This record gives sequence, C-alpha cells and structure tokens, in this order.
Amino acid sequence: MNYILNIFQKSFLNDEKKFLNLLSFFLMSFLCMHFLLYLNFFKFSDSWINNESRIVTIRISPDISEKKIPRIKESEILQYFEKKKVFEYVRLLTENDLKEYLGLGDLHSLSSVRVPLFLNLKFNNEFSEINFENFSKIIENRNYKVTYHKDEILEIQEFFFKVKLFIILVGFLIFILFLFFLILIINAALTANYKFLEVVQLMGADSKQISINISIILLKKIFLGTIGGSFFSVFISYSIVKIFSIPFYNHVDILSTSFFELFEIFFYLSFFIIFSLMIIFLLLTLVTFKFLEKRFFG
Amino acid sequence: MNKVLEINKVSLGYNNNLILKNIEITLSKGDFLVIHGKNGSGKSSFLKFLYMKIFPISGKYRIFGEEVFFSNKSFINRCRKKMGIILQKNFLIPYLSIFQNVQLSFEVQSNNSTSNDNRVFEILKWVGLEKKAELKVVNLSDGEKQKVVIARALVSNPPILIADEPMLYLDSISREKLFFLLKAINKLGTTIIVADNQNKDEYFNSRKVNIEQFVITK
Repeated sequence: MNYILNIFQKSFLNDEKKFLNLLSFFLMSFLCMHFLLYLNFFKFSDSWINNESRIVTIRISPDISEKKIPRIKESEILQYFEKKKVFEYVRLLTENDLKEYLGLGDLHSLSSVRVPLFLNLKFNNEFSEINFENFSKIIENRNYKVTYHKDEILEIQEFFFKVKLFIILVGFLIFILFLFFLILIINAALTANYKFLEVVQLMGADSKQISINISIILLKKIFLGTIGGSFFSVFISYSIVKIFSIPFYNHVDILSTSFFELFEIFFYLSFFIIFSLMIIFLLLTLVTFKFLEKRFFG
Repeated sequence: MNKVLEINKVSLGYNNNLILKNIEITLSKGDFLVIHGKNGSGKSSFLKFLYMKIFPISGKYRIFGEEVFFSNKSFINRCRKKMGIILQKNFLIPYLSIFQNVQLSFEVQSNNSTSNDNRVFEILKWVGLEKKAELKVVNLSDGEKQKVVIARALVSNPPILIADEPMLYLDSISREKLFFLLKAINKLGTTIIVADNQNKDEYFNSRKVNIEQFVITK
C-alpha cells in the first residue's frame, strides 16, 4: 500500500498543509503550555504541601508575672527540642519575625504586650507526633499550645486541587477543540476525494488500511506545527514564570536546572506529545474507517 | 466448465422497493455476457450487485463456487480483487500519469508490495498507450481515458471483468477498437459482463440477456 500512501500524500490536504501546520502550532502550543503549567503547579503544590505538613508551631505563653519568657528558659526549650533529633530545624520566631508576620513592622517595639514564645519545628522526614515527655518540667507552669500545620492546610490543598482541575479542564477543552477541527478537515477531505476512495474500495482495498494511511498522512501534515508549538510553549511558559515571578517550582528555568531535571521536563513533554498524537491518530483512523465502512455498500 | 458466477433467484431493490426479480444467471470461465435494456431498467443496479456494491433483497450469489455473505466484508474485498470494474463515469486521478493510474490498481489488487513496472507497461502496450505512459490523464481524449480505465481494470489479470456501458462517449472507431480489445481478453479466458443500453451488432456472437425480463412492472 506504499504507492497508495504516496498518492494520498499528494492528493489529501496538500493545499491545506500550511493551514494545518499553523493550526497545530497554535493549538499544540496552548496544550503543551497547559501541560507545562500543570507540571509546574503539580510539582510546586506537591512540594509546598509536603514541606508545610512537616512543620509544627508551638506557642508558649509567659507566666502571669512575666512580659515575655526569659532568655534562659528560651534556650532550655530550644535545647529540649534540638536533642530529639527528629527535626530538620528548630526555629525561634523573634520579635521582628512576629511584627513582620502580623504586619506591624512600623511599631517600634512590642514592650507593652505580653508576647508569647513561638517555635517553628520541621520534621526531618515524615510527619509524626511530638513526644512532650518532661516538657512541662521545663516550661514549669506556663501554658503551651501545639499547632500541627498538617491540620491547617486542608483548605489550601482543596484550593490546589481546584487549580489543578481547572488547568486540566481548560487543557482538555483545547484538545477537544483541536480534535474537532481535525475531524472537520478530514471529513471535508474525504468527501472531496470520495470518488477516488470509492474506486480504490471497488478494487478491493481494505478500509482499515486506507484509514490508517490517511491518518498517517494527516499526522505528517501537523507534525511540524506540533513540534514547533511544543518548543514555543516551553519558551512562553518559561517567560511567564520569569516575567510574572510566579512562585512555581522552578521547573522550566532552563538556566538553573540540572541536566537530569531538564531531561525530565523533555521526557514528560515528549511523552505528552506522543500520547496526544496517538489519541489523534486513533480517533482520525476511527472517523475515516467509519466514513468508508458507511459507504462500503451503495 | 468452471462456474465463475452463479446467481440464483436474486431480487434487487432499494429501500425494499423491488426493481428486478428472480434473476437466474450462471456464468462460466470465458463467457461474454451482454446485458441490454432501456435506460433506467436496472442494468447498473445489477452490475452493482455483481461487484457487491449493493446487496440483494433475496436469493443466492456464488463467486467461484463460494456463496457471498454480505456481512463478510473481508471475503467481499477478496472477491473484488478478482474483478476488473469499469464504471460509466470512471474516475481517473487527473494529476497522475497514465502509468501511475494503472499502477495504483495493480498495487491494490495484486497483493504485491513491490510494484511490477513490466506488467503495467505490458498492459499499456496492449491498449496502445505505451508511448504516452508518462502523460498526465488530464491531457487525454475521452477514448484514451477509456483505454486507461480498461488497462487499469485488467492490469492485475482479473478472471472477471464487469463493464458498465464502456462504449459510452466513444466514437465509432474507438468503439470498434475497444470491442476488439474486450474480445481478445475474453479469448484469453476472462469472463466479461458488459451492460449496454442497446442490443448492438458488435456483440453478435455473445450471450445476451435482456434485463427487462426481470423488471417488476407496476
């Protein structure tokens, strides 16, 4: 069937080649951009959630007679947690940290307020419960409250999920639009060339074989635009991340990524493009096959 | 005698409206059958049934002893590969050369992935177009186009040739030549079925069937 393939190549959608490349360029750019943004957001949200869920904040209120917890006691508390060796860091939030956090940077001091002691602890690996054995002996009769960030980020997780779903849905919409255009084009081409196809069918050519050949031809005609579009999308998504300083996982920053990370991006992107092209191929083959089988008998 | 086609009590029609009823024809290897009848009498429909483009309302159809089941498309494709078909308005690909148009048919019907240029040249020589092989079809006269169509139908050496009014649009000289060609192919053993709207003298020693005898009169 190589000869028929050559004939199809010459006759099918030859005048529309530029249009097809342009169409695939724009739509594949959008699609790949969505994929890259999703990949970045996925990595970013994943690492953010992982990071945040390992953090614990402990608030220790000063005694009624104190304005703040004495420095010696602060050191004892710090040492208590540091000795546990399950934390990546044990950080004491200073007065300045608190002012900044509360948006009170202009205030000269918090001397008139009874300021509790805040500690940020981050677990080394997986989150686990903190063992507070003998802790009350150190803090004596002061109150303390433990806040596990894992319990506080549920809403954010939900928000992340919604953003991911939005990116997927818009990407899916673009893909459907692309498929719709391609199906319209292939249908028009099949109708225009129907007499030729009918003659080939009467010669005994298999509809399946003809469909596969036509789909291969269409794929060849959109291939250049697809590859161009994918490179363009890498460039654009890199620019978006850079220009708007989006706090995404720095995954498309080609200059600061390692070779392995770069390879990973291209691996995922190539896989995505191949997967998309395969779906396009299967769908077009199915549409063409249905068109031919419908007309197999008069 | 080798039976090539057996048509047993076949009735044809569209959307259950009967056009032809109780057709019974048996053709053997080397038969030359002429089907004649007025315009619209159902000749083309009958030929469409022969090359399995339409299926019968009732009756049995056997090709080379095997019954045709219209649900078995792969069998139909195998049968179609053994048929050379000439349609009334035959479609040639205008931007391809005569050689390429004929080669296309050879590639589809011969199940041979490698093209056989010799066979294509041989058949073009036979129809007298070997010197014009590289000419684009668009530049040919109606008679020459018809010869290309015949060459295309015969290139893979099919045992059956079905032609729907092949003499249409041809002048008397071209018709004579074409008829001579068909007779020569027939002598080589090809079973030929030709539909024509007149009972012409050219077919004087062929088997003739008037399709009107099967027509349903209302």
